[in-house]
Amino acid sequence: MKRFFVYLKTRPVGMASLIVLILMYIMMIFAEFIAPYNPRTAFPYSYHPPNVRFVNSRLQAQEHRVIDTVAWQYGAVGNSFTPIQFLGKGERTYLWGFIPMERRLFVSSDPQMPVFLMGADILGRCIFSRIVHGSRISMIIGFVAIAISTLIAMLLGGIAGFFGGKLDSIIIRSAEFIILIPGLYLILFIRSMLGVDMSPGQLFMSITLILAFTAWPTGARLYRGMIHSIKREDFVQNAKLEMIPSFVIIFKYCIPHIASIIIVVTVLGIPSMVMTEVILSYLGLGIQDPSVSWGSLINRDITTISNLRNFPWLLSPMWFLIAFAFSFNFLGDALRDYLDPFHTRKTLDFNKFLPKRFRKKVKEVVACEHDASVDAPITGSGAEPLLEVKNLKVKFRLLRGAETLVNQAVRGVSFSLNRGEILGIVGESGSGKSVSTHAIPALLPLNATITGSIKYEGNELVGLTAKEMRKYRGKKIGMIFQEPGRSYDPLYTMSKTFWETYRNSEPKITRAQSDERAARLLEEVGIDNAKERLINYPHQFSGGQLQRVGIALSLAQGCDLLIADEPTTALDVTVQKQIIDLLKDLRKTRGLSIIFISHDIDLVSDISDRMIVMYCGLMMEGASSEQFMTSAIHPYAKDLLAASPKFGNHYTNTPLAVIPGQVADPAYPEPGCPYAPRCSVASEECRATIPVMTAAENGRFYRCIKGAAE
Amino acid sequence: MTNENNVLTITNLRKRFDLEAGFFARFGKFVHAVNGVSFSIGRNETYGLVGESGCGKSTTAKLLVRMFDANEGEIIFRDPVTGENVDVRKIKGQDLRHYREKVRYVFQDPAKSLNPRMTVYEVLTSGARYSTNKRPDSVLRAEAANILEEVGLSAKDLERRPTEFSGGQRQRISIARGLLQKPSVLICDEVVSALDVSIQGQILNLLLELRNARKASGQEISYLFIAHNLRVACYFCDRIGVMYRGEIMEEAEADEIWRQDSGKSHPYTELLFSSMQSGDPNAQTPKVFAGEVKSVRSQTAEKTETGCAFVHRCPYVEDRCFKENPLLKEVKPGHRIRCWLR
Repeated sequence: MKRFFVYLKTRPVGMASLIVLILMYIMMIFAEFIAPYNPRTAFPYSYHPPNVRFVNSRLQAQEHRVIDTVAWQYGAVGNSFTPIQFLGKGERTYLWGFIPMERRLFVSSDPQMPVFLMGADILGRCIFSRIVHGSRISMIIGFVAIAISTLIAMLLGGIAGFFGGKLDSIIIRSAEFIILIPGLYLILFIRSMLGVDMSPGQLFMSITLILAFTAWPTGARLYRGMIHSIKREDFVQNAKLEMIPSFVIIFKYCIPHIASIIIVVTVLGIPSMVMTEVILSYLGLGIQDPSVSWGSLINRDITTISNLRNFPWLLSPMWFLIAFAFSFNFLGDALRDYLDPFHTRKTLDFNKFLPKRFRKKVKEVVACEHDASVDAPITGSGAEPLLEVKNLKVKFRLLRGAETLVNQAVRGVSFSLNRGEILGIVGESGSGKSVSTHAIPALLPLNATITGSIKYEGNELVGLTAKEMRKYRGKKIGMIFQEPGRSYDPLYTMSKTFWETYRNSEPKITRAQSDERAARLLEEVGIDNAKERLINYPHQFSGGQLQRVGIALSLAQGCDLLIADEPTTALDVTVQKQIIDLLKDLRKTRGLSIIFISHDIDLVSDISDRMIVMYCGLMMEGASSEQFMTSAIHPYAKDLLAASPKFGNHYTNTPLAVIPGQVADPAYPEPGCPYAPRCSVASEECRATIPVMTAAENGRFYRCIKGAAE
Repeated sequence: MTNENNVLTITNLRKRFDLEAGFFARFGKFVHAVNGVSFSIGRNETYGLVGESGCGKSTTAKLLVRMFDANEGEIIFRDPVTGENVDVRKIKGQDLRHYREKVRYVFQDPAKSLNPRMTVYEVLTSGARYSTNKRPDSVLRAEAANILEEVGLSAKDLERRPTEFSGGQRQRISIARGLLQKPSVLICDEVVSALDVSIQGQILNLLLELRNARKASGQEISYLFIAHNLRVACYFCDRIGVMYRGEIMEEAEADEIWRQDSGKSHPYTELLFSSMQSGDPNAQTPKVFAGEVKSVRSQTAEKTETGCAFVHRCPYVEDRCFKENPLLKEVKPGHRIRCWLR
């Protein structure tokens, strides 16, 4: 709850809504105190206009006299004012029906000259008092009705979704049947069946139940769908295996999981309930005299257009209704954004326009800002590099509560890639291997800041506009991703997918030309019957074939550099081998340069010429694959090699070396070498500062102060 | 068939899934996920199932805990403590509950299998509350604290929530949850696949230590270890069954299965291991091995495919391979191969 308020501070509209709602509910609770009169107290002034004025630096009620009794025109009397008394004595009443009370928030000091803040109705009753009292029924009906309907929806939706089968069909079909009938007709129909002679209490209850009855089906269908998918989640399956009773699983496992959605749906449902009550009362089927609700106020008073023109203050209940409905909607919006962390909104950065003193503070983790310019860049022996990355840093701005946190995902990376070379980058999750390579074609989310330099054939890529970047993306730099199935539009045939790609660089290419070229490419990457297969959709290809198509697509515009981000992780070993062979072939036939990213050391060493190990946003070691596998220098690289089992190792003969501790959290980096807390040879010195990347002979690089000694 | 030294004996297990269900189903589209799998898990043994995705290894494991019901076959559980034999496919109610406490399933991804809204204590003991062997809360708490310490966490962690832990620690909690009811078999379905290399070793060693500790204290525990990473499986398991399209193609000691000379193991095993072995950087997979796994489908409830399951990718096929499915025959003690040519 506290976190929600912290979050709400960043959403001014949501905050304002919450305040409005709190004020309205205070008004509702203390209605007898806030309203100057009882709702049924009538004065002999029909359609009296609002008479509160600010005169002589205090609020006073001005006297009005009837000019025309037919049209109920009033004229203000020039100098006749009655001062308004705050906390004065008014009519005797009972707060909440049982505490006797005489004081009112404000009353006129002359009982003969009433104060009409928002005018009076045809019977001369104070509209403001009636609105305040009417809010009791209107605002409570929304809450009670939505609570009942949510309960029914959760129960029935939960049962239907969790058990499925016949029960599901019965519940959901009947819910759909109710949804099928237009809501208002259904409400009117049920209401008309109940008859008219009811006490106010009965009326209130019956309307609440009608509203709840007509509202549950939508919720039940929604929750049923969600629970239907949640019941397949592992944690529910696990609970089922433990033979926990089904109702406990539904209400302790499934429902809490969708609680955020239920809260939002419920909050957004309250105003619609109140609105429906208003409609009913307006039609004379809802709350009736002598009880008051906002709906019945509108019913009673706005009978003709001429009434509205002459007595516009009769509309006052509407303003309350609108404020109430809007506030709940805005609050619901803020709640949804708060509860759904994946929902990102681009908001105006007000910070920029504020003077420095008032700007929000950005909390930056600078404990280990690394000056990467002193690092030796990891280079190969080639003459002219295709890609040169220098001192690349990527930071993400994250909103945590009300403060912005800066997360350094990449903390200074320098390397180069030669033409026709395959460079492997290995690292565990969170090591920054993907982020640093996605930065090359600037494929990072908006909250990322890239600094440093990325030179492609000598041209700087950092800081290019999106339009300039398009000259490189796809055309010079291709990319393939981890899950090939997700990189395609499922509604496009391969022919169309290729056509779209070709048109990017050659807008005038015909479909026939593109098909021909695509077929040739597909053959090159090893897809049989390439021509016939062009009319197929992505789902008609297997995972391995899709990855081949992905490679073909990235070659379609003739790229020189291919960034392969875990391209085989989702594939089986036998297919992985085929893809690796294909990439090696392409390097030979096309002279392609490849950056190959994976967490699998053996795989990377198999495909690449040189490899780099990353940990916690820093490069730890760079060497040729052979050197690396036989004689790693950095303790992390050594430990990593020792920790992955090899063929021939068996637990009975060779126990597995273990790296203690956990992978460091890149959001809160240690001041020194990121591996120091887990390293067996680390000393105080290691924990103080980040070691510099050092170049050794034979094109080897390492970032360790101990490495040189050994 | 039921040997005294076996905890679980599985005979000719079959499972098919009906692809179409519901009101508009046109009947007659079946996927045969598990086709006559037989193996046994010995006391204090780790049996590994390896194979590519879709080979039916996870389905087999789920059949063992009755997450799905098998269509055919027999699963016999021999309680190592009481020596009773249980026909797993026939039990229900309290017997099933008791069986599921003895044979526990540990999921691949602890981030998904631990309820994020519960504390570790609630996660660990949620099953025990409805157990056949009910204990008061204070006893449960002590047990949970003990088990947490056994898996390398501290008793203080009981009040924290699973989301506050890293991946490796969460997997420890997941294992602790499996161990709380003192099971005889722990089914580890890809338990290290989602972990980083540096954490993977910790979990593997933990499982080995646990087994040794339990053996010493007289509560033997066996593992069914399902993995797609052959290096890990060969390191960790005692015996390994290689599955392909719902059948066990080869079964041997883990130590033996990887080092076979070409021509002595099943062609599929050969393909699997040659895909993993790095070495000669210019080595290419023989083109004959091209192609990918296909699921076994049929229009009727009976499997219509005859012949060997690997026939469409095997470079050594003969006529006979298309006509008749070979039996799993023993070529050496403890080494079985399903192939006409071996």
